[in-house]
Amino acid sequence: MFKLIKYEVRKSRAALGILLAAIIALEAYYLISLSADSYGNTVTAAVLLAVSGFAAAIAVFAVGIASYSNELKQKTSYLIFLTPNSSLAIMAAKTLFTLFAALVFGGLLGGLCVLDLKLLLERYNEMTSFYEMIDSFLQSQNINLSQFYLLVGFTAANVLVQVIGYLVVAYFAVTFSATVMQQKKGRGFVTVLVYLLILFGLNRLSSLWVRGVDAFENVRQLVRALVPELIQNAVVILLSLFGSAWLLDKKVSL
Amino acid sequence: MLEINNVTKRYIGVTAVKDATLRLEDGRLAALLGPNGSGKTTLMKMIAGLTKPDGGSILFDGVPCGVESKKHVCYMPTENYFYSYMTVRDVGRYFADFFEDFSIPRFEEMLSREDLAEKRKVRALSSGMMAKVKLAAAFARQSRLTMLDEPLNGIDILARERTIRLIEENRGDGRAMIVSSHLVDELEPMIDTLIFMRNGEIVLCGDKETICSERGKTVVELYREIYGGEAQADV
Repeated sequence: MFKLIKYEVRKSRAALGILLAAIIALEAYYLISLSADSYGNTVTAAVLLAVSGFAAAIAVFAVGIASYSNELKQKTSYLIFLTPNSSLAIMAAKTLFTLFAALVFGGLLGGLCVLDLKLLLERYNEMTSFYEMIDSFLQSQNINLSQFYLLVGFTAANVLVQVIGYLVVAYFAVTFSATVMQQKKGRGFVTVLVYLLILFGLNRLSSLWVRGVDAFENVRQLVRALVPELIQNAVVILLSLFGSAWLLDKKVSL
Repeated sequence: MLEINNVTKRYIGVTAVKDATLRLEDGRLAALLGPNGSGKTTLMKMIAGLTKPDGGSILFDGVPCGVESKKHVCYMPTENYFYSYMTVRDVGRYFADFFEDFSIPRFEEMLSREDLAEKRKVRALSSGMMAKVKLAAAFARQSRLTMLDEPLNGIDILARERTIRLIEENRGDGRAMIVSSHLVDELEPMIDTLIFMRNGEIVLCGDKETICSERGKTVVELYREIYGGEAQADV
């Protein structure tokens, strides 16, 4: 499994390298603007960095799906599928690689966010009022520091599992297209339709589980309200992985 | 070693392989013969596990082909199937990572014999050089079954001779080989088993000596007899 992940990284390293270079360039822009006391440029850089966070998430997602879709269309798929690895191990390696990339970029951007905010507050004292505003909001909600960390950690985990869920469902749709639909016309359209239908169904399903999120009284209640959705997403990930592996085992035609 | 029972594979509007049945024992070198579109590649891809049959079964050592058989089966496709980022050295490392029977020193030895620089990117290789890298990767393995899909295609006469020499060197020791080609005469001297395919069907299969002596014909003559006017044999 580790070797499969290693080659997933190697295949995507150019795309991920470009993304990393873009983030480093934006961070340099931010730091230079901050040290030059250029408030306008600092704000622009901060906004661009925030946007790059979303772009990074979408890019990691897109790189993962594009890589898999190409894998099933191009002759390079032989390299992977000739190796003595089960279809499940191949699918799991792809998912773990995306999780790894998401954690690396998420960690990098999160770390930069904390660092940049700290530097900003040190440079512009008037910004401390922003900090105090957040502090007083948390106090008014009876949220102490440990609860705050729990909330942030849980929300991050929930978002991550949800995004990985979307990705693995996309893998399933691509696999469905490349196996069951391989010899049928309009398979691209059907792939997108299958993907959207599954996501729609999952959203409807999660609306049955997730209740009272808007009316929570404390963090623990919110966390408890979101746990069913987290479990649902974890189940979706497992089902999609096993489903894709089963389709590959029974129907693959490279 | 290899047992194929009533295997069928269909694509849109065409049956690529139809009710194919054959046996291949250890140490045999089988020539899979037939014109383009006769089902040779599909049959090999099914043995390699790249394509699943719609019907029938393929057994390796009595067990359906799968993860375990892939440890012992080597398939060299006609196309360039390496990742574009790879150098020639990366190809060797990749195979060494996944196949216990792959020998890096042997791979390097074959590359140096063919004067191939390991630092070269595979995407920059000519078709002749690519063929050499693919063969080096295939023969650096000590796989029990090696399948070469059209190894003589797209290479010059000298490279062909070297390829045939490589096939000769790597046969035997209980290792079986299936070589597909429509360049029949060049393979004829080393073949043990003949498999003729036409329109997805195995039309003639068995020991070369037996078939040739029974019919009083060479392999090239048999090829002409079987395919006649429907295909232009490159003999």
